[in-house]
Amino acid sequence: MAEYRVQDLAAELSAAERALRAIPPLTERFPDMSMETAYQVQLMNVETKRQAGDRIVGHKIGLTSKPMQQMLGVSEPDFGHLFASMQYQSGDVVDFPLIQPKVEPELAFLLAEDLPGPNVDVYAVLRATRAVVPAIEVIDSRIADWQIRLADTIADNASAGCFVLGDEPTPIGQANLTTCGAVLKINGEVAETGAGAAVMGHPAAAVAWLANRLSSLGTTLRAGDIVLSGAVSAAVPVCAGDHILLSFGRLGRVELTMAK
Amino acid sequence: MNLQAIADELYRHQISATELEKLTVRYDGLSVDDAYEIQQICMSQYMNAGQKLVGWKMGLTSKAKQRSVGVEEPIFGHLLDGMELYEPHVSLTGLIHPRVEPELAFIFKHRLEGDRILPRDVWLATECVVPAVEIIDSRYKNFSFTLVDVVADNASSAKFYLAEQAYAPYQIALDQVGVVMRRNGEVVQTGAGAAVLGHPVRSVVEQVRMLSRIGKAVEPGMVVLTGGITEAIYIHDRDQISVSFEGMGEIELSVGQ
Repeated sequence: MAEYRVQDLAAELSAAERALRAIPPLTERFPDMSMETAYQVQLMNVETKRQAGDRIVGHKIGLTSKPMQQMLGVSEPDFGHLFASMQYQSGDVVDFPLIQPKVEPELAFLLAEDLPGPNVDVYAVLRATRAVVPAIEVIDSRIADWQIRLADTIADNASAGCFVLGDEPTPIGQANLTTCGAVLKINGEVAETGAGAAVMGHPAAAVAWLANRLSSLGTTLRAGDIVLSGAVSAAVPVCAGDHILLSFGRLGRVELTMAK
Repeated sequence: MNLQAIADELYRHQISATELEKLTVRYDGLSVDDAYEIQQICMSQYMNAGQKLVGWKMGLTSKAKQRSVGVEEPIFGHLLDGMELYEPHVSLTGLIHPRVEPELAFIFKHRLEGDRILPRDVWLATECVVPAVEIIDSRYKNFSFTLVDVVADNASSAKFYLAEQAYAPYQIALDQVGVVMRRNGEVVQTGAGAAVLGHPVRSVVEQVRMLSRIGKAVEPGMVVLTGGITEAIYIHDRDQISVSFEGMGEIELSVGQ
């Protein structure tokens, strides 16, 4: 695919995000768009945001569950970039501009050390991690009605919206990452439950995948980075005014209210 | 309507493990109360043949499942001693299209009855809590049914297994217990206790309340299976199902012919 197309697609997505108006799937026009091209589109918009003064604070991993991968016909996850402007604190009213938001319960990894790939495994991730903390990721799609294929979501920053971290990170050595139970409540009613192992069998396996994938692109996870490791349940659509509470048992809790 | 005849028919299909058409497409006007009556008659036939009532099971305890059947409340069924597995091995013989789901079981030391009980009444009556797996198996074609059908069919009960280790009900927040179900090593379902009516103790409250309508109770020594914490998954010959309960150990269930 020619360079000008990558630029055009990036510009279209960027305009859709600013105008809060979803566009038809890119893959409708370019059914053969490769993963590499899609990441180029993503990186171009990442660069645009950086130049506008936003700061990268970490990454998010998507498509970490078998059902999601099967739905999109892929065998590996994808990733997007997290910016300072996307981050909220637990308890906040989230006024981030969104088109068709959904929420996902996740565990966020807070890195204490760089994690250069390749050959990063679960143990390397655990060694490099300071703490984990429950996170609600608010995902959003600039593609109309979430009719995404793999290249659409990758180009669209892995459908990132914004995110909220809990207030009390748990040191990694004290956290049980596979059977830890997550309960997601919307306006007081249980909407989804899950456990850490829903993320590729072990959330740290997803972080390891990311470290290795980034190394193939010539970049590295850095000390201080936040990594949203992937959803432990299906995503749940939310509306203005909804109150969302994620309780992760001994790993703590996090909540937010969607602005009206 | 001849509920006895319908119960006889269901009983024959249950013991011969053969599918049947939904009752609701063949009989007009069956009510939920009729369905519980059919269940009752059907279970009496097992008990007349020597089986013992060992407890109760709750079904449709998640909002998702209630929506899929179009109801607002859970259902219950009988647990008989013939349904209980003594080892964590289930044989497909005698089952139609079995599925397995992880649950938490309560075991009682005191009687619980009435329509005005609270969680604290349940705790006072509870001896212990035990991780469990339930094998459900609808007798209806394609595992497809309405509320009336599934109630008549004893809430799809087939087999159940309780883990060896029991736990005091006070040390663990049962709504927060994470559950991971793997089939042949691969994670296939995860969930947490809150999937069951927000908290499994609520399921026991509902169970007792529903029993009180038909003049029955949870008796000392009985088990209550509180409801699936995840979706049920189909099982096949030589599957190895492992279920981890956060802080409550694991169940390794093998499947054979």
